[in-house]
Amino acid sequence: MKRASPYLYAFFFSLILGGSAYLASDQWIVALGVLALSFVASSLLFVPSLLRHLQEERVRHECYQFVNSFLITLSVCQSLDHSYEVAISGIQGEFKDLTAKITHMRVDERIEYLKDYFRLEIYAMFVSILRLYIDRGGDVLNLASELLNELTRIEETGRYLSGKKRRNAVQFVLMWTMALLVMCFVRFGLNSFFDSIKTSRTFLLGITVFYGFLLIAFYIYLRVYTRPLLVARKEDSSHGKPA
Amino acid sequence: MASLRKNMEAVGCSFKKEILLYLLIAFLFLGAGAALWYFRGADVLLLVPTAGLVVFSFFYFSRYSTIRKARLAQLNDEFVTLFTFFGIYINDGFNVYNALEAIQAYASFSFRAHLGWLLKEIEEDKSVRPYVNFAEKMESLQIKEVMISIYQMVDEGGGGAYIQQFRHLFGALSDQRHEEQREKRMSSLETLAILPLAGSAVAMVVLALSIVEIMGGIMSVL
Repeated sequence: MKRASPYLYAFFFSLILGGSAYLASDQWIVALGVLALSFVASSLLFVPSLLRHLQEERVRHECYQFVNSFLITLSVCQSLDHSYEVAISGIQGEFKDLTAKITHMRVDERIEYLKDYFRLEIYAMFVSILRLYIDRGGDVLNLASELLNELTRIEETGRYLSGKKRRNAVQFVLMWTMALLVMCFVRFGLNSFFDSIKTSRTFLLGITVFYGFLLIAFYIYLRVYTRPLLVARKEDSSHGKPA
Repeated sequence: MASLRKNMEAVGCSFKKEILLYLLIAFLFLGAGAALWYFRGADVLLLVPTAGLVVFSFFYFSRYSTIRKARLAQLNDEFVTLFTFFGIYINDGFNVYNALEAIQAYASFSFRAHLGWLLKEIEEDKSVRPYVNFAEKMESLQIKEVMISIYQMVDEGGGGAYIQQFRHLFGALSDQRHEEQREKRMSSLETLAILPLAGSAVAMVVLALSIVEIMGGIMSVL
C-alpha cells in the first residue's frame, strides 16, 4: 500500500487548527489565516525537520546493524564478500536501492562508498579499521571491539530515547488538545456571551496570539525532539588511512 | 561582576562592548517608557517597557553562562566520541602520540586546535602537565583521570595494565556521558510540557479579558 504524503499530514494538522480557530472565533478570516499560517509552518518547518530526523534515526539503526553483522560474520568466516552479503541481507528501502546500484564494485570499495550514505563519524572509523585489517590482518573482532562497544551504547541510547520521546510527544499533543478545547469552550460553555465576545477586538487578537504561540511551541518542541544523537561526518574531514 | 566578566571573556566577548550594547538597548526601553509617561501619563502601558527591560536584562546577562555551559558540554561530548576512536587506535597498536594525531581527522575545528596544542606541548614537555592542561579545558575530573591514565601509558611504556586502566576509566566515562545524554534529552523535552500549560493560560487570559471587556460595556450602558 502506498504511504500517504507527509504533506497530507501537514494539511490535516492545519485543517485541525483552522477548524478549531473557526469554532473558537466564528470568523472565517481568522480560521483561514490560522489554516494558511499553520500549513506554511508545518510544510516548511515541521514536516522537513521531522522527516530529516526519521531519516537520521533510520540510518543510525542501519549503520549499527550493518557494522555489527559485518564484523561478527567477518570474524567467523574471514571473507569480506560473504560478510558483506550477510550484512546487507534483509535491508530495505533507500539502502537496498543503493547497494543494488554498486554491485559492480569490489566489496571494500562498496563499503567505502557507503560512507556517503551513512555520513557518520563512527562509520568512517569502521572503514578505517577495515582498511587496517585488510593491510595488516589480525583478529577483526579484537581490532573493532571498542567500536562495537560504542555502537552498542549508541544503539541502546537511541532505542531508549525513541520510546520515551514518542510517549512524551503524545503527552505534548494531548495537552495542546486540552488547550484547544479550553479555547473552544467559550463557544459552547458561555453561549450567552459568545455573540458579544466574537466581535471583540481583544478576543480576536487573543485568538491570533494563542495560535501563533501554539505554532512557536511546536517549532521549539520539534527542535529539541529532532536533535541528532550522533555526530554527522564533517565534509572537510580528511579520514585518510591511519599512519 | 567578576564572574560576569569571566563568563563574557570565556565566550569570546569584550566586557566593555557588551556593557555598552546593553546600556544602549536599556536606554531604548527607558526612552519608550519616558515617551509613554509624557504622552499618556501614569498608564498601565508603562508596564510593557518595564517588563521588557527586566526580561531583556535577564536574558542578556544569563546568555554568557548558558553559551559557556553549552560549549563545555559539546567539548565533553566530543571528547567521549574522539577518545573512543583513540581507544580503537591504541587497541590497533598505535602509540599514544600517533593515536592522538590520527583522531584529529575526526575532530571539529575547535577541538582540533586543542588536540594540536596538546601534541605540541607533548613534544616539548614529557611530564604529565600537557595532559592535565588539556583535561582542564573540559572541567571534568573524570576526563582528568582518563588523561592521566593516557600519560601513564606513555610513561610506563604502554603496557597492557595501563591500557586496561584507560579502558576501564574511559568505559565508565562513556557510560556516564550516555546516561547523562539520555537524562538531558528527556528532561529538556519534559521541560517543554510547560508550553501547552502556558497555552492554556493564554486561552484563559484571553477569555477573561474578553468577558471583562463585555461586562464593562454592559455596566457602562446601565
